[in-house]
Amino acid sequence: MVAENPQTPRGLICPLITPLTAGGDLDLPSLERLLGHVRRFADALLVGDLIWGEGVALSGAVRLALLAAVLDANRDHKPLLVTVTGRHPADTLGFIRAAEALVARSGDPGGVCWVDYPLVYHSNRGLPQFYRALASETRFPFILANHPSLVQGLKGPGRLTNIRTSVLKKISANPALMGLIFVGDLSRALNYHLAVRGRDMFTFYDGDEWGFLKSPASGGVVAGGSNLLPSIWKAVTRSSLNWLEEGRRFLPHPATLLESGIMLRTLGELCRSAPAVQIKTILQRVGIIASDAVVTPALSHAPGWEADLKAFFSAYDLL
Amino acid sequence: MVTQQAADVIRIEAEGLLRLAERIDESFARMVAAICNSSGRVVIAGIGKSGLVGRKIVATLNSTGTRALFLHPVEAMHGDLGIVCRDDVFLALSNSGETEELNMLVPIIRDIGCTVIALTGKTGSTLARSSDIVIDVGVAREACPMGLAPTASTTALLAMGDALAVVLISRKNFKTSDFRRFHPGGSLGQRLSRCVADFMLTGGVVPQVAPGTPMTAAIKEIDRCGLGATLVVQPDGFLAGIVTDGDIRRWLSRNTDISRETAEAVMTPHPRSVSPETPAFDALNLMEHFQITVLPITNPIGKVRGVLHLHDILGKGEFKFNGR
Repeated sequence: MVAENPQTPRGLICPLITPLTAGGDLDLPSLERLLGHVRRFADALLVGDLIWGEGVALSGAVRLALLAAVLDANRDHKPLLVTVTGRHPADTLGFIRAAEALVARSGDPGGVCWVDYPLVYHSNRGLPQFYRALASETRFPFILANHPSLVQGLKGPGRLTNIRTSVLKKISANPALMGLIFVGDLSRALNYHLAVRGRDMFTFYDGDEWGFLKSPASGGVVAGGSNLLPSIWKAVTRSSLNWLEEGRRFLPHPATLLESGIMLRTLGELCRSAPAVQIKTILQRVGIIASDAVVTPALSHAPGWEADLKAFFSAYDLL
Repeated sequence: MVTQQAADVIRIEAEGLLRLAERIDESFARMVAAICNSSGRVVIAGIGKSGLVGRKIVATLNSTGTRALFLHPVEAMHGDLGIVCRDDVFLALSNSGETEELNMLVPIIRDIGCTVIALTGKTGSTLARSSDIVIDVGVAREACPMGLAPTASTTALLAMGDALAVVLISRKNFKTSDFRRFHPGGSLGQRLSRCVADFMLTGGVVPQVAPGTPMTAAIKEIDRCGLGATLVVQPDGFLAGIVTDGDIRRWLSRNTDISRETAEAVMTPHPRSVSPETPAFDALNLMEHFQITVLPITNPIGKVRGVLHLHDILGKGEFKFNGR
């Protein structure tokens, strides 16, 4: 039931944080500003992601309001990746149906893909059958996400936290599945690549921005830091992935690129322990969003974090 | 006696050069065409004095816009050969054409797929026979009284290298400004080796208006600063756009009354910008390619830090776009 020749985006995927008011509602003016800040540079936007967008922790109403607002603001038809993962299979399906209705009402919003973290609410057993059923309910393709530490955090230790390679091989036979956002070690990445070698147009994205800075994946990167530094992330992504494109003439000087990499890595370190909370704090401090309110449990920043943040702002003249 | 001997040497070398000029033929044109049609580099190899001349030719070619590198034949056989690509043109320099190290290298270079050009004094030599194009750089006699030390022959080789570089300059439309770019020791080069922060305008001389500013006021701001443009800056310091003389001209060509409009309506939103740390060379490259005279300078998240005018990098006498 997937629509005609769907294509997945390549390059920089910006997983938008979800700006909230102190009361927990969607902060539309801040969202508008954030979109204005990142939209030009991102190759695609990831909406309501579990890591950066606080996806499953948001209420269904806020998630849908977020999607509606992004669809409305997406005048340049930027590809949209929408995280649909719920707390259980029925929750996921329910969100897909509601989201698809929203997308249908918004006219032609450009390429839409559903992003799902299956192991958050499902085991490896029966996953291929589950996606066959899920794909029959929607006309948009899926991108899976494999994020072991997220699954472990949500489901506790002792559970299988990675999609089994053999399961991925079966799932990937389904044409509705178009890609994978991957976090994990290189040997698993290699096995996953081998598992989907029978598929053309199956895109791998790096779900770990640190991993991408170290050894870039071929398809692109989901980089939370691009909420703050979209132009720098864009330059680094382009220089890593698109050596053959026409615009390479204007790629940054290698020394600039090196400095950019250090800058992104420093930002990644600042936002590593609680990504959504920390990036929101930073965005609020530089004036891009109004409030750093979150629905995920607020963490007190580690000792020294404020000093590190101050040093980061000062080093790169951000305030 | 000494002065006479020195004058004789010069005379012998000059005679060699004059005869060289008479012998330049179609092969030279083929050599130039091969280099111009190649997407790779010019790889030059030679041993001894020819190697030293080769290094000088490499330097001349590089400074005049033809990418070139020197490959030592012995080092090449021990791994440096990896630097040679199929698209490169290979210039083998040997007066005798029988230099063993070079002749061992040529078949391998041919296997890689490079065009091989021999610059040799012996057109019937092994090197000449195994090359695609042969340039005769032979001289009647060396200036050395024993005829042993390469003197007139290396001068001839050097002159042929200069001839090649100069012809390539005209073929590639290489301009004075390009030459200066490759010479960072020059005054312009020194400017380009610095970063944008050293040239950008900051503070009160930066033309800026808020998005809601009426165009009448925006035009006054453009006049005040004399840069031909004004930045449009949000209240919190983020760059929203730029209004240039060109934007106003284009707007007026479509509409009539600009006085009722705001800067936001006329501006080019999200213009290209660079950070203060950007090398001036990169900024100049961007400005020339996109024909931008005024470039906003922002920090990494898009807050305005200043503005850069093309004049500020080049100096007013150098202002020029590469016509397209």
